[in-house]
Amino acid sequence: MTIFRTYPPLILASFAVVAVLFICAAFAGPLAPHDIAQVDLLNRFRPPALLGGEWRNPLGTDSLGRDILSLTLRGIQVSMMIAAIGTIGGAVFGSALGFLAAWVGGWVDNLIGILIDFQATVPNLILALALLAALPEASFALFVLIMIIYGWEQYARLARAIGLSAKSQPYVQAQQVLGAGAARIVTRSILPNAMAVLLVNMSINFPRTILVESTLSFLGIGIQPPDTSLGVLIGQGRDQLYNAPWVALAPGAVILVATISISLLGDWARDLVDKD
Amino acid sequence: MAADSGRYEDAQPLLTVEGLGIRFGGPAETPACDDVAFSVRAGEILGLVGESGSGKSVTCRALMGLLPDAAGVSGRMRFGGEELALCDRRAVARLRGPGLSMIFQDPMSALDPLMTVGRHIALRTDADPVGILHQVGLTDPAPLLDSYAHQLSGGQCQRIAIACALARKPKLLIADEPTTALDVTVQAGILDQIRRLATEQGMAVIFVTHDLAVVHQLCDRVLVMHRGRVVEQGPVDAVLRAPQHDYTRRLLAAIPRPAMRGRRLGLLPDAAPAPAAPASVRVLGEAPVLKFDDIHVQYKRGDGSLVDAVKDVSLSLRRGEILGLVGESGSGKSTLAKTAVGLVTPARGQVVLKGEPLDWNRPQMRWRRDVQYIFQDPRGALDPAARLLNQVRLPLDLHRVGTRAERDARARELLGETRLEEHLFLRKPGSLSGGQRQRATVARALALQPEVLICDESVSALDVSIQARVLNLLMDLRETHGIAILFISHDLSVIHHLCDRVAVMRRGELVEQRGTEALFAEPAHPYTRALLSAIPHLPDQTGAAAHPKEVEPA
Amino acid sequence: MTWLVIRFGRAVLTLLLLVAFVFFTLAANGDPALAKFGDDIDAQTLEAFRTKWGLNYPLWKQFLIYLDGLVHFDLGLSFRTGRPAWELIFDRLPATLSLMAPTAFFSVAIGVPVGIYAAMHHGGRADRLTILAAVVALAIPSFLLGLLIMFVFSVWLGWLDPSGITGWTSYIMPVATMAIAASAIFARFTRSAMVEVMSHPMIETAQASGLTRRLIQRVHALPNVLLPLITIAALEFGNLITYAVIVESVFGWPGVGRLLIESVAGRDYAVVQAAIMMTGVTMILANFLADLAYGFVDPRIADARRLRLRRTPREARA
Repeated sequence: MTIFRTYPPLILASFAVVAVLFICAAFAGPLAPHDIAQVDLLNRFRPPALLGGEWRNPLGTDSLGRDILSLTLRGIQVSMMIAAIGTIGGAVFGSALGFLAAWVGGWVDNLIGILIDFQATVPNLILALALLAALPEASFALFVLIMIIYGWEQYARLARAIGLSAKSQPYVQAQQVLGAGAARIVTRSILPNAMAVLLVNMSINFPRTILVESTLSFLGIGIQPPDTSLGVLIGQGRDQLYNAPWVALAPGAVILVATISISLLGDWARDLVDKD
Repeated sequence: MAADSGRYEDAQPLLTVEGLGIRFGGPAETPACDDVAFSVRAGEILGLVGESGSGKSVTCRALMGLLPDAAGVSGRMRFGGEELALCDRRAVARLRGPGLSMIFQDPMSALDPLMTVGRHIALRTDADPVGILHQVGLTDPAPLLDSYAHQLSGGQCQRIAIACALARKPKLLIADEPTTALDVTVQAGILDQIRRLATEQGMAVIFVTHDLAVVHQLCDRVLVMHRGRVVEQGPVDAVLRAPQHDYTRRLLAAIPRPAMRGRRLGLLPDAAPAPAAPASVRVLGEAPVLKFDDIHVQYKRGDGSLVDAVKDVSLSLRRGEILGLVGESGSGKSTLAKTAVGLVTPARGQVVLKGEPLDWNRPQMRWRRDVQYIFQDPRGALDPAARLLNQVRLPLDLHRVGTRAERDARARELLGETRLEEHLFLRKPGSLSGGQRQRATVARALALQPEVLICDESVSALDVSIQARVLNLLMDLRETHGIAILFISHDLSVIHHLCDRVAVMRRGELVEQRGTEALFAEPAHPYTRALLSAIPHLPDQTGAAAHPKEVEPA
Repeated sequence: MTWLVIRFGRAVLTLLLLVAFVFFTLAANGDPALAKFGDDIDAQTLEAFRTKWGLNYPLWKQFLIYLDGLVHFDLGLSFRTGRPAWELIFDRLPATLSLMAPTAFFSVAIGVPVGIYAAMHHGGRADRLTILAAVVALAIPSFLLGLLIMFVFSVWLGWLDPSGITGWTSYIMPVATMAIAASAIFARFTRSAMVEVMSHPMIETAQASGLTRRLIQRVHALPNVLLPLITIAALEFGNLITYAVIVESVFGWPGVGRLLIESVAGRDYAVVQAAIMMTGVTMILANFLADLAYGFVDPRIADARRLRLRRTPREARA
């Protein structure tokens, strides 16, 4: 089949995984066999169905008897949502600033440059830690905001580089000579050409945002219970690694598969764009 | 002119190539080279000529074993008595160094930016580097040994690249367009150097170029390639004066030269002159349509110091006139032209359009309709993401000329005028050739019916035959629409062919300005004289000396 | 010389900005007194606490006091333990450094040669495998990788102790976790740098003179690849710190990273501030050193720096 020649099997598998994740994220509620808040103390630490448990809890139960499958589905939903908002938010905000810096130049460029440099002084995670420490309580909205702050800088850098190189391109100068205004040139000419690169960057960043969120949640300073995410689940399951490893490993496997698949797709997309 | 050919006539050829074929991709693909055969003798300079896609570069790489493994190579070569199959890259590679050597087009990137010149040479030979650098014509080599590539000029870098190639005393040097990226005065020096090396050391040279005039000046024999095949070969004078093959004839006819001045290119050289007489002064009206008044432009360098790019230059352009602006790199010709369209702001002086001074701090749309600019690089001048038709229609959209349907129709008309095929209108620039893109750029510039067209090296990146088409187009425009054209180029042959008057610039200053015939017949300024004497000529050209001499870069 | 002074000045300025940013961000939100004691404490004790720790002063005054303390190497006292913040950090620093050093070593020792090898067999199986391995290694979150390794070697196979320092074997799992990701970065970068260098025209020129492949790689390719590695190394330093923070929490390692997490959770501002500042200082230092190194190693940059300082431009030797 030609589809196998154009898209190597690994890429196809990644597409399939992403599709499944999307469905899980969108329909976590209806898909979940149990209510995630339902505590069943008589049913604690049941192993997954394939390891001797029952099919009532296909992936087993945790220390409070809650169903792991339902928790994992909800975790996927939360993690994906945060990653999506964080990535898109960071991309839009960062690119806008980057293009602005490139086009206007002067003090605007200097100011934005200082902000970018400043963020590069400490590793992003450390910066996120500082911001988290400052929050009175880790509300969901604020956490997403921190995700946006985490990621904007590299889009700003990229957009600025693209903008600067476009400015010196003859086709931009030609449009100026023809009488086109700045707004028109940026939106109708520079942006469409930059779109491919920006989108590829977003697809590469998406898994990174998942990583950051789950890391922070795992460490206990990200999403707080009663909300849950994949990172929170792993963090909670970490102490049971000896007696009930499935509590941490189920959400862990999901993160693994998700980030690898999305990374592969992102790399593949980048190769496509680069060849142009 | 070619040196006497008697000294190697009875020697066995040093290199013989037979049945060379090169194929990229599968058997269904057109071969890059097909059944190429030729030979070179010791001390002989063979010119290898062709346009882009002719296969001349890949032929050379095949002889050096530098083609990628994926390329399918067939054929045989005999070098210095040894016989090899060309597909055996290892064997071919063993001939490198003392056997064959090669230099390439871009001199600056031929050298390692992190390595001194001295070390480059030391890697290749234990001999004294100063001696080798003397050999390639560098007059004071000692301080150069500790220099890095970025500290040197293009001409110096190319000489050093030649020195590197010569360090192991090769019997055959392949030069792949080594002077194409250099100024004409620098080129003259390098050509001279190569000629001397061939004569004094009996080194054979294969000189690849697209420029037949260079071939005439430098080479003993010539090989013409077209679409991967050898079309014609023989002694230079014979081939250039009496070409046998149709392609060679067409190629010669497309080259601008003094004898064709004012006529459309592409006519066979022995055809009767076209009824249109060479335009002497077909100017409509006395008042200049565009004037540069004492333009002075300054750039700021990294350390804050100012450098004068254009020094108090005044020029005027009349309606229907084609003014040539000539200079080498760094002369400021492009910078000057850009002040007319607001891409550069002069520190002093002003540009006057139809009597109205242009203040680009407060741009008026109507100025844009009167003056248009065509850039050198056709690849960069078009938006890669937009279709051709839309881009040609853009100026009409911006100036709100007529209805949408009318603009569309007009854009199609314009593209048709440049003789671009209709099925290309809706394509994006990426899938078009350089010549097609440049024609689209011209169409776009003409959309608003400007009175002045500025062509900044617009034909320099094009193949000879495409260049001829664009030059003919420009002549048509001047006749039918009365457009004034400011034609910027470093190529004096083109200028001589196309322009009514010529202005020569050097390092920001206007050095000389006269009618074309007068300037070329009796150049007044020493720099102009140096420039003219550096141009290589084709046979039967009148004008400057047929023996270009070594010129100091002025 | 002037360049050096300017650069140093910028570094100090950035550091100051960082300190101010962290200080005001932390101080602006959250009352440490409430954080420490929660809700069931009377107002009097709260007030006493606040006065004791100087929390009643206006913010800008607190900042100046803090700056003054900095100059005297007093980074404030930890709320939770009452000990000086710097003391806490210095106690734990050796543990962290003992993780970062071997990781740095292994990541370069493994990553760079692998990258070069992959580039030399560009397009072949070894190359594609390397890229795949690198993508996977970088896609897995560090904490997950650490957990997996812990699960396999501690829980399942029972070979190694999962947490704390109990002899040199304890180093294996944390260092491996960090080194896998760090090597992947070096491998990827080295590979693409090498591929790019090998397609530079200077390589073809060298080949045309008959220089051997070995010689070309050693003399032309490697220096041009190692040069940009300097920048990457400086960047990687920041990544190393990040990995350390995560891995210490996974493996219960008594280092600065875990201290930082605990302090963030416990709203122990002085320690958080101090840790972030130290991170900032080291990062800025690393970048500064990298810039300095470039000036020595790349002649183009050395020239550009010299030229920038001259009042009258030199004519290029034509």
